[in-house]
Amino acid sequence: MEITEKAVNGVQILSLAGSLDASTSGILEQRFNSLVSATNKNFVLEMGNVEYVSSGGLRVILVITKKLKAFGGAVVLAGLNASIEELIHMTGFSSLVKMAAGEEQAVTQLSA
Amino acid sequence: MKRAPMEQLIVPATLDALKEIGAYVKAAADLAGLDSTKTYRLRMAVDEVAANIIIHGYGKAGLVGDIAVRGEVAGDSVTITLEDSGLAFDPRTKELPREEDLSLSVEERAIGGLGIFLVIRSVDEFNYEWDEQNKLNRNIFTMFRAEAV
Repeated sequence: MEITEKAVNGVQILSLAGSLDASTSGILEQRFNSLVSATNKNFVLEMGNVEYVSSGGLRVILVITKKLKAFGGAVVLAGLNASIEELIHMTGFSSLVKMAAGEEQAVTQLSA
Repeated sequence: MKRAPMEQLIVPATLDALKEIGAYVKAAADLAGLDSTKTYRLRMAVDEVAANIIIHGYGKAGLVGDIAVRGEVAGDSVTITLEDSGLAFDPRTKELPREEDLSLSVEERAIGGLGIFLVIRSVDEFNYEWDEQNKLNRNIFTMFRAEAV
């Protein structure tokens, strides 16, 4: 799992590459925890280069979603492949997290 | 059609091994000609059980050991078997989340508990055997190339 970070219009973007599973999801959780604050509470997880997400990855996405909601912010998942999108629907996560086709659309959703 | 077994993969039961197990399952799925959706689902089912074995069967039980992964391609299906000597555990006995649990709000939604649910939902057949003689868990996943009837 590789993570690169940047900020656009006050939105924190984390671009992920690789697999988000039991062996790597802790890396994302740590990076998120080091960045989130009362003033940095809108995040995009750009996942165009993520080929695989397991329940361990979903767990961290839920942790992030809960924490940002408590701060009055939100997370948008961008660029999911078809299999990961199916997983999001299968698990009911589609009613918990927002999704966007790409990074720009995700930032627009959060800036609106 | 003749059955074609793949050479078995033996990995130490650590989280780092998940990547290698995933690559093995993808190779087996490719040999069987599964489409990308079925390949993903098979990989996910095996990965979820393997992670459980590593974290609970060995790690939290204070045990150290290996996981053997075997793939076998038959006419229209592929079967993956995981064999381990960790704590005996039949994933089929785990209580699964109900539909209403999956539609709870962000605040109410439980963290975790999805792994075995995904296994059951993802593969066409899932079986578990306890080998009493050799004290081994055997988790067996089968995916058919076409939709199961």
